[in-house]
Amino acid sequence: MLLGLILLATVVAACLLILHPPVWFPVAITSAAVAYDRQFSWTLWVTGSLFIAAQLLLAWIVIRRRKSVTRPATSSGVRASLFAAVAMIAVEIALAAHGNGPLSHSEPKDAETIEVYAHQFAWNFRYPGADGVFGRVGTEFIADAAGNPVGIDPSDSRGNDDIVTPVLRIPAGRDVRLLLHSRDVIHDFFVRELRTKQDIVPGMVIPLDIHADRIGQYEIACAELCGLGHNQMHSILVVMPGEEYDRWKLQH
Amino acid sequence: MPTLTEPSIGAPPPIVPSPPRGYGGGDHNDNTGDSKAAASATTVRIAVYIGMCASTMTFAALASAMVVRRGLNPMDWHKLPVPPLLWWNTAALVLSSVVLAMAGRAFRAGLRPRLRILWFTGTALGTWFLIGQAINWKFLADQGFYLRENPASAFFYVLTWAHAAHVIGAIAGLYYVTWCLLARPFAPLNRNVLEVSVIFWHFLDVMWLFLMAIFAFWS
Amino acid sequence: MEATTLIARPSLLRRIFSTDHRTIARQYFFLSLFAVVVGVCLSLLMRFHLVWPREKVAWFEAIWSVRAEGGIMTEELYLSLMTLHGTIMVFFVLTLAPLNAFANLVLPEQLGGKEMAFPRMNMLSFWITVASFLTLLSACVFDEGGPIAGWTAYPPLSAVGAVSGPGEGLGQTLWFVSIGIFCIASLLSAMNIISTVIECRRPGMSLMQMPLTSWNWFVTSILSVLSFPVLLAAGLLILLDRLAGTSFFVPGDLLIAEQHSPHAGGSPLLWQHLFWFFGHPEVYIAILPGMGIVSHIISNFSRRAPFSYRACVWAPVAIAFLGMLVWGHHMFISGISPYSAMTFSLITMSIGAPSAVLVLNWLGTAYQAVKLEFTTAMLFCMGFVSLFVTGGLTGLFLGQPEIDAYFHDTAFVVAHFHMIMGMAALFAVFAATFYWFPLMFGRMLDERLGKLHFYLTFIGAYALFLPMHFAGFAGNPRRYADFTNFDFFQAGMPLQRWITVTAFAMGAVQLIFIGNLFRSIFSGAKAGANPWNGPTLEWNADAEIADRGPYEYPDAGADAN
Repeated sequence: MLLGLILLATVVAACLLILHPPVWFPVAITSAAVAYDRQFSWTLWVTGSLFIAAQLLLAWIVIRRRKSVTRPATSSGVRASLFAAVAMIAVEIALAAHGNGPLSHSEPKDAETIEVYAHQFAWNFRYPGADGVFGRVGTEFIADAAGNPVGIDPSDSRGNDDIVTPVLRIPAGRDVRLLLHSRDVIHDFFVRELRTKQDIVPGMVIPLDIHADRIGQYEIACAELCGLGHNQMHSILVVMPGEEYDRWKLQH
Repeated sequence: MPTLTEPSIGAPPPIVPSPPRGYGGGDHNDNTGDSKAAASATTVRIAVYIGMCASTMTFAALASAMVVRRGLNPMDWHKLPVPPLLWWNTAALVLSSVVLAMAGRAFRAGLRPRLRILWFTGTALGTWFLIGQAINWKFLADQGFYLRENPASAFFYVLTWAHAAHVIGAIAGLYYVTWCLLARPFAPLNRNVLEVSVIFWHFLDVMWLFLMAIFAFWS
Repeated sequence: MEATTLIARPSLLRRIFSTDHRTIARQYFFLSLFAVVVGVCLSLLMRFHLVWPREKVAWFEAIWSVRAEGGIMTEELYLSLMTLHGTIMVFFVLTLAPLNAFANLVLPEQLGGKEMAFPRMNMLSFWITVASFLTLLSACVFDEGGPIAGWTAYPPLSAVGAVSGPGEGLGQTLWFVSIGIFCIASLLSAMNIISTVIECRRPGMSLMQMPLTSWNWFVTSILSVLSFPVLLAAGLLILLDRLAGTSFFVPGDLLIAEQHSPHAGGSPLLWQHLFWFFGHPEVYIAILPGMGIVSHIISNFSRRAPFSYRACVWAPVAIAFLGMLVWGHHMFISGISPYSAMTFSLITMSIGAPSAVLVLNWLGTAYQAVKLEFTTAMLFCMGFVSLFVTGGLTGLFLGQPEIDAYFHDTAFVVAHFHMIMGMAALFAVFAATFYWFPLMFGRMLDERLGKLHFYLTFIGAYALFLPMHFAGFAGNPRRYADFTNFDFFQAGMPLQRWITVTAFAMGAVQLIFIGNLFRSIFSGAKAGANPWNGPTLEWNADAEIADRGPYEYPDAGADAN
C-alpha cells in the first residue's frame, strides 16, 4: 500500500543520492584526511545497510496485510531483543575499532610551528621569522588599525621579525603544528580538505597538527558561532612547495 | 460494557473499588487524631524526596564547578578568612535539626505541649542560622571578599546563598506551623506541612555539613 | 427519588487556573501548538534568507526596524531568529507536547486513578511555563530582536554582555532568566508525574503492569529531575558572570570589540560541561515519551501485546541511564582530552543497542499483528519508526570523534537532529493527538484529512532533511547567516534552494493539520467511549480489570511477555 511504496521510493532516492550526490566532500589533502574518507565509507556502508534493511522490513510489514488469526505465534520477545542489542553493540564496536582512534596521534618532531589568531571577525597568522622564535604577545598591545592585530610586544626584540599575515601559508609534505589562539569568544578553525576542525577557546592555546600533501588553495572557515560576523570569517590556506615556502619566509 | 443493575433487597452491597491510595481521605493509620491531610502523607513525602534529589543535583553542579574552577587556576584561589559565626551557625543548624526531630516524635505521640516547646526552639535556632549567615556575609564583604575578582569567595557566596534560599523556603514552613500552634492551639495541625518541613530541614542540615566539608577542604 | 443539586458554573478565573488534569493537558497542548507555529514561521524566515539574502521584503523593516534596514535581514536578525527557533522548539514544543500535554491527559486514568498527585502544583507548573515563554518573547522585544548566541548560549559570547554582539545585553539576560523559570516549571511537573506513578496506581497494579506510555513518562520525569537542576545551576552562575562581575566562565585577558574585559580565570568549557550534562538528557526527554506513545499505539492497532513488554520497559531505562553519561560527545572538538573523547564515544555508541531493541519491538509487534489497522495514528507511528531509524543511524557517524571532527557544527548535525527530534518526535506527537483527541474534546479528528496530512508530511520529511545531509558532506558550517562569503558554498546553492522550497511546502501542508484540528474541535464526529478499542484504563474507566496486564485484548489471544 501507499506507505510501503513511499518507503521503497525513499530507499531508492537515498541510494540514488549517494550515487549521484548534488555535492560531496572536497579533495582530501592529508593522509589523515584520506584515512578519514576510508572510515567514513565504512560507516556509510554499515549505516546504509541497516537503513535499507530497516526501511524495507517496515515496507514489507505494512504491505503484506496480515490475516486475522485468533492466536498469534508465541514470540520469545526477550530473547530476540537481547540478540538485537548484542548484535548492534558488536557492529558498533567493530566500526569504532576499525577507525583510527583519537589516541593514535603522536606529537610530531621538528614541526613547523605557526600561530593562528582568531578574533571577531577575522583570521591572522604569525610566523616566527628568521630567528625562529616568537616574540611576546599581550592583548594590551593589540591595535588592528595600526597593523598589530596579534598584539606583539614592541619592546620584545624577538618579535621584530615575526611575520603576521591574513593568509595561512604552509609547506607541503612537512609536519605543521598550528597553535590556536582567540582573544575574545570561541571560534573554530576549519578547513574542509583537512577533514578536521578545532575549537579555539579563549584562555587556552590549542595545538592542531597537520601534514598536507597537496599543493593548492583551500578556504578557512570559522565553525563555532562567534557573533554577528560568524559567516564572514574567511581566509585561505595556501599549501605551497617547501622551497617556495622557505623563500617566502626569507623575503619577509 | 458494564451495565448498572439495581441491587436487590437483601443482596450484599455492590463492591466499590477503593480509590488509589495516593490522594483524598488521607492516611487513616495515624493514631493521634491530631492531624488532617489534603494529600496522603506518603505521596507528599515522595514529592519531598524528589525535590531533595533535584536540589542535590543543583548543589552537585555548583560544587563540581567549584572543584573544576579551582583546579584550573590554583594560583588565584585566595583562601577565605573563616567568618566568626560559621561554626556557631553549624551548631545551631544541627541542634535545630535534632530538636525538630524530637518535636516530630512528640507530634506523632500526640503530646501537644512538648511539641510546642520543641518546635519553637527548633524554629528559633533555624532563624539564628539565617541571621548568622547574613552576619557572615557582611563580615566577608567588610574584609574585602566580594563576588568579583575572587573565585573562592564567589563560590562561597553562591553555594551559601543557594543553601540559604532553600532554608528560607523551609523556614516558611516552620513559621507556618509555629503560627498554627500559637493562633489555634487546639485545632488539628496539617500533618503534611509539619512532616515535610522537618524532613526538608534535615536534608538542608546534611547539605550544610557537606558544604562545610567542601569549604574546609577547598577554601 | 433523586435529589438534584444546582452546581454553579465555575468562575472564569477558576476555569483558567483550573486544577483539572484534562484542562491543564489541553492548556499545555495549545501552548506547544502556538509555540510550534511560531517556531516553524521562524524557520521559514531563516530558510528564505539563506537562499535570497539580498532580497528586500518591506514588512521585515516594519517589524524589526534596526535589524532589517531597507527590508533586508541583517546577520544579527538571522542569528536571533535562529536562537529563538532553537529555544522554542527544544523547550516549548518538544519538552511540553510529548510529556506534559499527554501525560496530564491520560496518566491518572491509565493508572486507574482520577487525578494527578498534586493538582494545584500541576496548575502552577503550567502557568510558570507560560511565564517562562512570555519572558523569552520579551527578550526579543526589549533588545531589538533578542540574543544571537544560539540555544546553547556558549560563553564568552553569551556571558560578557552587549559588547560581544547585538542582543547580547538585556536580551541575553532575559533569555537566561526565561530558561531558569522553565527549569522550575519542569521540575514541578516532573515531581508530579513521578509521585503520581509511584503513589496513585490502582491497588493491585504493579509497576510492571503499567502501560508503556506511563513507564516512559515516569522515566522521562526522572531524567528531568536529574538534569534540569544542573541547567538551573549553570544559568545562575552565568547570570552572575553577566550581572555581578564574577568570572565562572570567562577567562582573563580578553579584548572584545576593542574593550578589555574585566573578567579573569573562568573556563568556557565549564559551561559546556554543565550545559550538555543537561542538554543530552534533554534530547532524550524529548524522544522517550514519543517512544512510549509509539509502542502503545502500535500495540493497539496490531491488536496484540508488544513484542516484548519487558524489553519495552528496560530499553528506555537503559537509554535514559546511558544518556546521562554521554554529554561529552557534544564537545569532541572543544578541547577535551582524547581519553575522555574515547570514553564518551564508546558509551554513545552503546546507546544504539537499546534503540535497536525498541525498533525490533515495534517492527515485531506489527509483524505479528493479529490485525493491522492503519488509522492515522498508526500511520504516524510507522513514520516515526522510519524516521527514528534514519535519524538514529546518522548518530553513528557523529559518535566517532574522528568522524565528528569534520561533521561537528555542519549541516550534517542539523540534518541529524532535525530528522530525529524535528520529525520523528513530532510524528509521535501527531500520533498521540489523533489517538487521544477523543479524550481531549469528545470528538474524532477527520481520518481522511489526517491521512493526507500524514503522507504529505512523511514525504516532505525525507525530501527536506535527507538532502541536507549532503550539505554536511560538503562541509557547510551551520549557523551561518548567509552563504555569500565562501566559494565552496556556491556548488550547493541549488540544494539549498530545494531545501527552502520544500520547507515552505512542508509549512503549508501543516495547515491541513491545523484546519483538521480546529474544525474537529467544533464539529468533528462525536467519539464513543472507546473508539479505538484500546485495552488500557483511560478508555475503560469502569471496567473491572484490576489485575489484568495493560495489553490484553479481549478479541484475540493475548500474549503477555
